Amino acid sequence: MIKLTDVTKVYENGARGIDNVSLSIEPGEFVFIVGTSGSGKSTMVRLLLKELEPTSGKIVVNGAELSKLTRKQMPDYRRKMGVVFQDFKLLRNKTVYDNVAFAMQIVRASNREIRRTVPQVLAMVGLAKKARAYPNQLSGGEQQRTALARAIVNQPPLLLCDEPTGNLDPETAWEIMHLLENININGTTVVVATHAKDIVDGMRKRVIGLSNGIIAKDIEKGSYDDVYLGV
Amino acid sequence: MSFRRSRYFLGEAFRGLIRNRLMSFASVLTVASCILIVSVFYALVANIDFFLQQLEGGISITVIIYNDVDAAGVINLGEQIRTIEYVSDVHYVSHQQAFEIAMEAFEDPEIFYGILPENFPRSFNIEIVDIQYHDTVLAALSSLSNMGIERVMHAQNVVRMVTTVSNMVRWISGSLIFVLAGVSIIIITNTIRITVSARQVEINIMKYVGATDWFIRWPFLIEGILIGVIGSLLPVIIVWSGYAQVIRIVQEGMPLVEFIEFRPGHEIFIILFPFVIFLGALIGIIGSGASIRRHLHV
Repeated sequence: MIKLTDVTKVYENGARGIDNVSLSIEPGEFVFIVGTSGSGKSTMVRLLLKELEPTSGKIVVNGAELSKLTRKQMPDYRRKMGVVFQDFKLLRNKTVYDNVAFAMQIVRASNREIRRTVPQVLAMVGLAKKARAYPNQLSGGEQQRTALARAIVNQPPLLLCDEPTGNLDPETAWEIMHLLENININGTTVVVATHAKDIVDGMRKRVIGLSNGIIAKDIEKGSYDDVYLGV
Repeated sequence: MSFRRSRYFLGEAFRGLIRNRLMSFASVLTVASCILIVSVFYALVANIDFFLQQLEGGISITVIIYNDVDAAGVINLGEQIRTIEYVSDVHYVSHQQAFEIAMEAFEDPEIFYGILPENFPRSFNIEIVDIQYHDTVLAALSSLSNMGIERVMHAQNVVRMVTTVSNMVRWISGSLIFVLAGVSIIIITNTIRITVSARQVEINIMKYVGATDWFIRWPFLIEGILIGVIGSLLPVIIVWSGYAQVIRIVQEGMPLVEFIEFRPGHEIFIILFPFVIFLGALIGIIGSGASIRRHLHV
């Protein structure tokens, strides 16, 4: 599903985002990428989104080698992954329904299909009654659920989450994580970049720990402390 | 592009216009101001051109024939004149016809007492294809001077003045339209750029979700076209409704102008209307296209 081989990203100011990282994530996995601020989590997410180009190394996602993707192929690539951000990134002028429907309009889904699928997905994330609300009328948790609904509405094989619980209270954060777990159970590969220790410890999933841009540890069913112990 | 997709883009464009109504209004007014100047100037140029055409039509060359040239000589001369390049029509005026023309011009037959038709010289009136070939035709006529031509009457100075003014007016109007279109494009580009910048986050989100450049671009382009078309419709309506009144006011206020014929309104607007709509749409599409280009690289 995801394969990074000797990937290094050096920013223009000389700072190293990630340094010679190699890892592999198989289809259907649930993986946490953890680390403190500046450890390289966001760099990795942005590389996977192809928002950044690696300085060296090879990245393959869903069978596509990112360095070989042309500008024209980018939309197709991004349609095969759902993305959830810490700041939700919802379209402020669209309702919850329209935000989710927008992702379907992009892939040229028919109106009928949109009318059938969007309510189902909204019900799944517990937002059936908020379909007509605008983002500024929602709580943080509800906004993140909307973002999640938008990310999964086209049933992508991969879901990429960058600090999805960063702006949420602990209770709401757990609700979001349970939703992600359910999505994963249904076969979607879920990659979550986070520094939320409680969440990582409570989920007991694969944990890849980053420190100063390198992989500190990679543990199956690990915890936050497992990764950083002895580093 | 499918009907459903077009409807979506059109809806988004209208929503964009309404959401940024203040900027949209400013853009429409900007385009309208520029197009208004273009329209007024075009109407003016069309009338000057119309006046010059009338003037050009009235300018012909008259070849006066010696009295001793016989009928065969006159026919021969007429044929030679017809072979000159750029001559569109040659009309023979006999002694009698010249006499009648003079009678008509003066209205009072008394002053022609004792004057015979034979006292009026025979002539050829020569029409030319275009006033710019006036001098060429004159030069050709000079080579026929030994065929019985007494003298050639023409209005070379008037011709030169008319040609110069005509060219100048066309050049100025062309430049003005070009400059105003450029100004409109710059202003509309900046206006839409502000709108696009304010929607940069929105564009980024669309890109993350997998929208193509064209999916993002179309609503902005349509928005630009709408601004351009609405902005160009307003001045056309203003000029259209004001044109007849302006002519009436000019003719009433300046009695001498009564003799000058103005170009009919429909002749102007049949060209002006599609032209400014096209110009407005073009200004809008170039303006919005230019402003969105660099925002798509996410």
